[in-house]
Amino acid sequence: MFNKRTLAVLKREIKALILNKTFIVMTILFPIIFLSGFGVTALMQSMEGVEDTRIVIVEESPFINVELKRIFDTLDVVKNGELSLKYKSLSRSQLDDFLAQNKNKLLKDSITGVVFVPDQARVKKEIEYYSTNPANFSINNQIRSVVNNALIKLRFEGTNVAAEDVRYARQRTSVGRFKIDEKEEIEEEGSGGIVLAYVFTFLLYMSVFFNGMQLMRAVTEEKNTRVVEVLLSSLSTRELMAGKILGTTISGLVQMLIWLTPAAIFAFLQSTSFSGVFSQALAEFDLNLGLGQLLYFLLNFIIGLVSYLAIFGAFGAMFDNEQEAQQGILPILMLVLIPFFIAISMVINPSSSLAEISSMLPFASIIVMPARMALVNVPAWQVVLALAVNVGLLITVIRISAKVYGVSILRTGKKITLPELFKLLRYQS
Amino acid sequence: MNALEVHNLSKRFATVQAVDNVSFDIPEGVVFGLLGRNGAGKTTTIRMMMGIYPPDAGEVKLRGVHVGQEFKDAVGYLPEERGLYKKMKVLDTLLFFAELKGMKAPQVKSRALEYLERFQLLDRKDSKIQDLSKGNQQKIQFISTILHDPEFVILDEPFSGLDPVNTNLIKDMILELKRQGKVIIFSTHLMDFADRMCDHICLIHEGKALLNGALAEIKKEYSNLNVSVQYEGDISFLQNNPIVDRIEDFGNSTGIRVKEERGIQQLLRLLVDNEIVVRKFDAHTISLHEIFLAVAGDDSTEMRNEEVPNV
Repeated sequence: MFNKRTLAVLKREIKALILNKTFIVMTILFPIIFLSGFGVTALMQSMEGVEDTRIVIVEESPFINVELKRIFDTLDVVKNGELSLKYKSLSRSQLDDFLAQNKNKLLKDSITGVVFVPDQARVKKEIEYYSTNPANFSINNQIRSVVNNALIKLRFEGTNVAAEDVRYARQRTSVGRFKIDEKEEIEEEGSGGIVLAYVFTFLLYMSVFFNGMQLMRAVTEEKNTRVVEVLLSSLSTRELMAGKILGTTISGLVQMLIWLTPAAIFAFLQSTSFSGVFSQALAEFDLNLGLGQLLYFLLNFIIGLVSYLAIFGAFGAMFDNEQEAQQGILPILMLVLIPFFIAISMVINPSSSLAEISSMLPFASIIVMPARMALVNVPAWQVVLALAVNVGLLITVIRISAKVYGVSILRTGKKITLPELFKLLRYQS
Repeated sequence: MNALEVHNLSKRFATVQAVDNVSFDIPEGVVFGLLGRNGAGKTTTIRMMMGIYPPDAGEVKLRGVHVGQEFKDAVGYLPEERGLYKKMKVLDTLLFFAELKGMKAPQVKSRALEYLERFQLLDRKDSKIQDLSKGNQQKIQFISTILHDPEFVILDEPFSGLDPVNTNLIKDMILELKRQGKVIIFSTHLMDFADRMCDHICLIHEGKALLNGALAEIKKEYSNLNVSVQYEGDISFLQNNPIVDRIEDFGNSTGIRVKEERGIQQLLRLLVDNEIVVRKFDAHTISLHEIFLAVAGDDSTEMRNEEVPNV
């Protein structure tokens, strides 16, 4: 099947794919856009700060304002004037009047918000916040922590509980996460595994989806422009399909390697002493990307991509034009989407039996297993089984796809129906 | 030995028997015409010869051996529905199709440039196909068919959709290829072209081969009862005359088929008696068109209305 004709098709395919605007945009710009998307979200969150914020703090009866003012006045945001505060004592009915009178100011944002500390807060630790944007994360956080500190101070002041004990009670317990694996030493783990699982899942999904659609479009276009008949006067349908799939696989692999380069550099920096400067920042995101894991990822990727491409290619051969193909593609996309969602949901609980089983099922394994490997230690037999399942899938899919492609590619006009297709396939074999 | 032999090819699509037990031989060095109306089964026959469709039954032999990849390598094929990669550049396109035939790019590059020059497209060698006019795209497709110097050239309806200039260009190329000793096989529903260009023909009708062999011999066989007449006057009185089998009236020239040999003399007398001015009375000649009608029946009168480009 692989000969100089297949090679000619493969070369043409790579040239058409890689020297193409879509490829450059997808490969270079997509990660940038994707990352800057994250960046913008983070920036928005940080900007949603306490800048130019005017808060009125209302206590139901005088008990806490003095203490609140004392704590607030120590804060930088208050010292540099970003957060300005006024303190009042009002009963609940007076508060309602106050809110009614100042509604305009609140709407125009000349008062950012009103915090009401009822007397009950001493018992229930419940306060109220009135604002046009009551969900503002930074303001909520700032106020909550100050009010909490004040309430604790007031409660324990004058009791025989030592200040040290109060501090101890206030402190949160922090959990250090240590991952047990075959390695000698037990390492402290950050959020790197989760990041890596997401990265693997997204990259696999993007690549399969993007390259699959590209191949489908290319096959439909060949059929639509009738180039395919000229091609088939020179080579067989199998040679043609092999050339197209391998060409797209190589271009997909180039793309994947470009995508993986930043992660690999990141992992390398972490593994060298050079990272001293960064180590503090990097430790939390230790990707823990081992060579074996990377190799499994790439091998799994190649097998998976070829399998999916065979399906997308055969599917494209069934349609005369792109519009028709895109209308019918949902069932095929499900084969990519369902594993994608399993992999994403798995991050919450990687040891669930759904994760374990689906990481060894045909199709699902391709996207789920690499993510699972990033999160937990997968027993070796499961990795081997997943590989075997993938190879089995590859062989089956290629056999069926080659037949579907062969019987569909020269059919024009009436769309081929599933029963017809099965009949033709039986007839062919 | 024949260059190609087609034995008992059959192909069925769902409810339609597209090709039904078709056989013919193609000798070395001839221009071979596969003739028939649209939908007769010509394209399906060609596709089976090329191995694009597997036949239900029958086989094709290249110099006595079952055809395989070596035949595909030796053929240049121009399908009826032409197609090129729209975004590929002209020279890249030509080199790609030659590479599929087993040629190496440097081998064919100079040939490709020669052809481009000859077809006045050298300055477009780096243009994308989609930027060429339809006529120029057809030229590129034709060059890609013959660039690898094939022994066999198979052209499916080569003249359909061509303007008069390109029609002439392709006709000249066919004749040149013939002089080089190539075997040219073309299908057409235009009998005038076939009449002027073919040495051998096979006439397909509703999937069956009704006639095949050397055109000269077929004509000899069919012309015994035929008369070609050029005249002035009204010959409608012949329509229901018992000696006449069939009339193909083109206005002032007519092909008349009589029922028996002696009818020819009776016909001449009839014309003179009815004061028709006879300019030419040529017994024993027949056009391919008339043969086609005689063989494929009356329902093919629409053939005459087909647009016949100037050759």
